[in-house]
Amino acid sequence: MDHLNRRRFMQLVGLGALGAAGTTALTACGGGSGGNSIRYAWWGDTVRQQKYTAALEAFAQQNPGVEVRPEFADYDAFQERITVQTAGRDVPDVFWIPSPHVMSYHDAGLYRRLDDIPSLDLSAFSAAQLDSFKIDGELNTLPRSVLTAAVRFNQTFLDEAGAQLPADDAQNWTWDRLSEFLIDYSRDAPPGRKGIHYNAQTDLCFEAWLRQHGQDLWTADGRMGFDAAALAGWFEWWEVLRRAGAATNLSEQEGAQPEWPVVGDKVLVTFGNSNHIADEAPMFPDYEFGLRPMPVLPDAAAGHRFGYLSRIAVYQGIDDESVDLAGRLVQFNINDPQMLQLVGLSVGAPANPAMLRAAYDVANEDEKKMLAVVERELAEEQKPRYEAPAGSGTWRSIMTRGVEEVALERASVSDAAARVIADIDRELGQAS
Amino acid sequence: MSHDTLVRPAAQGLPEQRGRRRPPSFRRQGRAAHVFLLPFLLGLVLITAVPLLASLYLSFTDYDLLHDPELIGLDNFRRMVEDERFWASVGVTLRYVLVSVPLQLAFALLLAVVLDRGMRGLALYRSAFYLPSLLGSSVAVAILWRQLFGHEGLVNSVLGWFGVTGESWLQNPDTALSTLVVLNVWTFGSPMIIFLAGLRQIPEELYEAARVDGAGRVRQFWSVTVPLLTPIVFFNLVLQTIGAFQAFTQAHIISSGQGGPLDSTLFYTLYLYQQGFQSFNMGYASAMAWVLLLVIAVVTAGHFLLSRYWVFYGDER
Amino acid sequence: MRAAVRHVVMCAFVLVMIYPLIWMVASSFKPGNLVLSEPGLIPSEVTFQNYRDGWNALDEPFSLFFLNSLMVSVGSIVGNLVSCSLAAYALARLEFRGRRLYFAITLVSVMLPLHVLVVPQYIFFSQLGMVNTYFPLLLPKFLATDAFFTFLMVQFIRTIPRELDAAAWVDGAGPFRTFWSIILPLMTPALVTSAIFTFIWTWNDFFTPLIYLPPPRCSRCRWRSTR
Repeated sequence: MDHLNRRRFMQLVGLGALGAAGTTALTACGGGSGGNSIRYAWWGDTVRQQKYTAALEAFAQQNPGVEVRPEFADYDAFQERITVQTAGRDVPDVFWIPSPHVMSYHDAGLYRRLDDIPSLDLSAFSAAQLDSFKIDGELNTLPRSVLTAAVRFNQTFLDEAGAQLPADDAQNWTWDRLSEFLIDYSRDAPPGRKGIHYNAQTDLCFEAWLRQHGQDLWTADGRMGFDAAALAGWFEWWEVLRRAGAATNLSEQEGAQPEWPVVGDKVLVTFGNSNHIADEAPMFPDYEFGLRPMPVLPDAAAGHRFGYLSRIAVYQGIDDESVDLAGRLVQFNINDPQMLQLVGLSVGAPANPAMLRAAYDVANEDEKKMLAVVERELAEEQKPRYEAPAGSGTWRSIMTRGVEEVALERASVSDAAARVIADIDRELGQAS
Repeated sequence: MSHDTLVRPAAQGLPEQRGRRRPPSFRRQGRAAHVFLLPFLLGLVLITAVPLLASLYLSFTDYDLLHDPELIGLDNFRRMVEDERFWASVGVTLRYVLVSVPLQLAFALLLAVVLDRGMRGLALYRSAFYLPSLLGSSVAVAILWRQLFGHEGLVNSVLGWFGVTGESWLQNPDTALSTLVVLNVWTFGSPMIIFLAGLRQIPEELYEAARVDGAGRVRQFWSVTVPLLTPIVFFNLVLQTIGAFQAFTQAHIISSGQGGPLDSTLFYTLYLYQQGFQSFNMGYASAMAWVLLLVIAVVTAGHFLLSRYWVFYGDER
Repeated sequence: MRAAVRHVVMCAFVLVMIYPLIWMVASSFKPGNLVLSEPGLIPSEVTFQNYRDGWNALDEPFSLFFLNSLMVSVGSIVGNLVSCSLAAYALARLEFRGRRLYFAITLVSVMLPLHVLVVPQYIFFSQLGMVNTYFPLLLPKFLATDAFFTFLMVQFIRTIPRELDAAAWVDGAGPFRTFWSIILPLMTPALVTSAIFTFIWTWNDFFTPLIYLPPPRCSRCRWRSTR
């Protein structure tokens, strides 16, 4: 019956199209891609655009007679465009997957299976690794890179204050010790300087908190994996810092999602993704930065460590004769040191172990810190993690509102937490 | 000022030509009209009508853009009634329309009139006032507005001279919307340019006729300029109102697409966009769009009804 | 004397209005990391690097985008001026059945938010095979789909005293001659205004080209290594 509806809709739209086709005899230069041409879609800033364009050029050189058509945009525009393209069933052959929509796209059947393409060599990954990439038991995406939650600190500020972070071991590098340290630091910090930004809506760090508490962001069956108590505990951790004057308030950092250029020289410590150091450290060239894994609860749940996989996929509707070429392009993305050399590490550490080691050769000082943190995280035991389900696309916005309620003192921590849970639950319900 | 002089003055100076006959014939006009309207009609059928009707159909479906739409009757409309954020966005939008449209038009009209009254350096001023509109919806505005209204922004610096320490105006739910009203007023250049063009188009003969009748400059302004400008005022009023109901870009840029803090700048279309493109509820978004269309249509119809009492057309018979 | 006072007042007002823009221009000469941290007008360090970077940011020099934009903008102006003025004349001056209806539809078409039209429009153009061409950008302009300009021109035409074209009719001119030789010259201010707005809005339009011209430049984005 779905098909009937779809057909009716397409007819409706197509009706006008036919009329127009009659009156305007026009030929397009676009159309489907043949066996020697392929569309590759990715996002980023102009620096990344240049690097990937160079990489695609190199790929074309490796594959004589091949034409790569790049489709590039910044992150938001990329999502808008691929959404519209999906609705029109005109999706690029190889594309990056934005994290909120991994499962939505999967449900829509956008991904082609990747374990039957001869040109794509998966031998670099262990069986366990390949298993962890699967969605619903199917290998239909591969990680371009892996990101972890991380704490970045300004070593220059520490030196100025003659201070030292709690030691980087299980006994000292805990949430409580870090909180105390930040409050101490802020007490004697120079004017305008605080311990940490107020970043309670950063998803990977929040997920680390949840997993240490034995909970999850999402469950295997596409539900929320956490409760109001865990969320309230997370909010409270930040509120203690804010009330003590150790975290910037929303006014000082211009919003619940602090931007690095605004807070970079105002705070000692920031929470975020491990890969951000690559792009963000150079924005303040006078400072030296360090990177650590997240602090850990003394009684953290086993297997709480995790990495987030940024995925790449091949479109389900790709022409059969283009599949081999798509396989080669994915292969180039995940397995080829030349690619790594050209694009660098701003998207994160390679998930391929051999490539991760090769990455040290092309990494700068900051990127090496990222690689080390990621390696450390991945070396430890990990229980499985599940992608954000369809319908969770706006959970970040809901979270942001919760953070605003708390930090602007419009609601108590527990009320705000309960509301966030209820709102996310409602959104998930509407999608199913 | 009597109502009469305000509305019906200009015809005095011109020969009255109100025959019963309408040259050319009605039928001939009809044929000619359809030739003139040919591109318009093609566009209507091909470009406008199809997506319009498609979105109407979608408003009765559950459509997530990825799967095929599924008819669900009036569920989308029912859901709206219970949707808190929907009503929040209605409140934000109404407040914005009511405040920013009159303010922006008043500014635009005042400056257009001042500039038109034989001011030297008109072109220079006109360009200067239009400049903000050029950038009013570019991404740079986000940074700009933070520079002005942010925690360490210009406004707070100025307040600082008077010993007042302010918070970021953009991050306070009570003031964030006002900064967007200011932004809208700041970009008054577009309606101003239209006003100036309207002033330009008033035929000099009408002023001459009024002078012959012994009208002074003030009298000329009220009996020639004002009534002849009313169609343009009307145009700006109608379209700026429609535009304000659909306000999107500036809020999207300044709140990074969130409509925050705490939904205080969650405009109707911003919420619609979030539903359509972020939550993938395109059916719901389409339903919201058609509700908006009905509201705007009613308001616009109201404008047209009221226009009979204050808008003067040169072609009125 | 009064004129001088007026100029002083106006100049002060202009300064307030465009201060943010002056700041923006000043910022464009600052190194990136100082833009936000050093809000004053006078930069402590002056650089032209931003322009150099910006100009070449997307591999192809900026001048190419400039030309593309210019082409689309000029095409749009021609389209809008021709199609909208024709439609506006008919709607404002000629009497025929359905006039009010057409006029109402024109207005209704601007009342629906763009965001719900994007997807059906895209499907429509993609079924015509027009994605990756300039047609989705230009065709609508030549078919008077921008109600803003049609309505604008209607309003301007309606301010023109009807006696002027009635006189032409008495002289035996038909609707086309009347439009061409009476109405069009009298509505020059409206045409100029429409041209300016079309230019600026097309130039600033980001979304339409994003959707319809995915590979930034159809002909320049392929690498043919051999062959």
